Amino acid sequence: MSPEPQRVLVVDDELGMREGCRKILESEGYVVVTAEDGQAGWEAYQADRGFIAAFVDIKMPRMSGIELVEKIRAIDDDIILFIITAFASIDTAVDATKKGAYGYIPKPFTPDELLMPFQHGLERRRLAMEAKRLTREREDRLLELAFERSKSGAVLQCMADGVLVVNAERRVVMHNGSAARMIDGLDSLPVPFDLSALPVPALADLIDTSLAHAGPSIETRELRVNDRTMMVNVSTLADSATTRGAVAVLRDITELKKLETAKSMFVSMVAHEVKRPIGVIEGYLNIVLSGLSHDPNKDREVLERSLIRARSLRQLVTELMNLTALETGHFTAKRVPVDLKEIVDEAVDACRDRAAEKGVDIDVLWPDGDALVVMADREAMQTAIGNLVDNAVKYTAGQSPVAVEARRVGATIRVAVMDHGIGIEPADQVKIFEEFFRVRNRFTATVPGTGLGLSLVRRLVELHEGRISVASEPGKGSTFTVILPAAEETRCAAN
Amino acid sequence: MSEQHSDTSRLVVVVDDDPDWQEIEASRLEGEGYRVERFFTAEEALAFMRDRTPRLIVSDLMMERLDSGFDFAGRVRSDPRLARVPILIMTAAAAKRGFDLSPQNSDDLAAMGVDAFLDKSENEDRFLEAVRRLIATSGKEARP
Repeated sequence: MSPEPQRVLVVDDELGMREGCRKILESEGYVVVTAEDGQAGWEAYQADRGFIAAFVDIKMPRMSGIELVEKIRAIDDDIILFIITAFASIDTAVDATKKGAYGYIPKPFTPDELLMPFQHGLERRRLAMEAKRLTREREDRLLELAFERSKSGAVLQCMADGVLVVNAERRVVMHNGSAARMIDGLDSLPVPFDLSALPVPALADLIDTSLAHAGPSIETRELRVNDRTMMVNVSTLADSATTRGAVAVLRDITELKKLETAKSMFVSMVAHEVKRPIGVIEGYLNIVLSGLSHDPNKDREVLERSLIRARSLRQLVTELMNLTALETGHFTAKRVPVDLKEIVDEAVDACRDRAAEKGVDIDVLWPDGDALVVMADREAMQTAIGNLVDNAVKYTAGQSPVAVEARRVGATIRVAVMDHGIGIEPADQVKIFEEFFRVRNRFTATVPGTGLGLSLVRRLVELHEGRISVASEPGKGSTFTVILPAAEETRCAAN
Repeated sequence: MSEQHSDTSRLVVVVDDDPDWQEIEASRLEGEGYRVERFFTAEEALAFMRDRTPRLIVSDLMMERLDSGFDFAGRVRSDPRLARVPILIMTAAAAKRGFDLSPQNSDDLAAMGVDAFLDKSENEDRFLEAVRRLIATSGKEARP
């Protein structure tokens, strides 16, 4: 049968029996190992373990055959065990089979009387092992299947998107945790439940409509579900013309929608802010072209005003580009040690002419001689501080002075820019850092501004782990303070 | 009261928080022979009109607030003496920041207490045409 000779153990205290069995079995091609009592048989079994069968005498010294059968059976399911007995009685046979023997062979026996039950036993062993193998295989498959199922179940449960499965009878047969979180009351419905019981009627309608279609289809719609905006995809499961069910996938797009709204608001604000100076320039140019004024001086004045508005429009576009660069991450700050004293000096110098024109003095104060070095992008600092000084000059009332104070406070550098202008109402103090917000009143109407300067300053300062704040009293003036982390001492020294 | 108070037959009140727009509208109106008084806020204009009744009010829509012009119009309408003064609302963008405040028909205008609504990008001719029409209509009503 098999290329490897199969081994059989024979345990009997009678040498004649042992050798008789050996002869019969060897003639059939088996390899026979013999032992002269139960204990020796047990030792032989343990030394080999590869036996397909064992013939065991009942009455033996040291260890009885029944005991040996019991011991072997306890650790080996597959071996075929035969009891050989001279005292054949039903009781011993029953006892032996209870202990795990396949059968018994009464002494004396002919070769056939030994071989016949042996062959039966082997066949049974083969069948039992085959059945076992099949069972094991099936169990493996089931395990695999269960694993697959739990895997897809886990994937479904872990999905951020809500999933609802509806069958052709319009019953919700499954949903995942995200769906339960998105739809209030879904968890309290025992699955399966009727689609019409779904707490979101619009979703139920959409699924119902999809199911009504013949053949596969995908419907996509935006739905409000519990005050959130959901992008709902309903795809039907269908083969040829029969629709078997539908899967609805809900994706929460509330934040995306908010972003979209903010974006279009921003675009329309930009459009408005750009349109405003263009309208003015157009109006002025028409006045000149139509010769309405009949006064060359007046025309010149109008053209100068147009120029101012054109410049502020250009400023607006520059600031918009800077802001967009910051927003999209295209602005890369080149951090180097920067002395804020230099930056303040440059900013003040840049505003000197305009201040002088207005008759405004700019006082620069360095209360202590400390180095005011920050790790920063030089250009960004120029823009930020420059904007603040420029604003102070623009908004200070009449000829009242503007002051810039820079000092080290602990591990920070603080730059304060003070004006004595109209001040800012408490309600507006937060809004002034928002894009396009401008305080509108009689005074600010004559001050050109884009509404982007302070929001740009705030973003630049925050990019440098800094903070900007405003302290203001209406009618008295405002102080804008920028706080930036000071550069390390070692870097200051190196600088 | 100064002697100017008595002559309000050519007086137009212009309200706009943008001095350049005040200038543009005043230039257009003065070119037509109107006398123009300019104001930055509705408040200032109302104070001025306490003892003067202009032939026309031209007001910006968006000043301190998005709809300051309508608010102003409402306050003008509630004053019996000023109730008949035509109001022309000017706006830089009809649909600003997602809110379309532009009236679609005469019912909208009436509801807003406004007589005409004009986009600032409209040319001078359209502007003066509206001005002439509003003054002519109110003149007829005033002297039936």
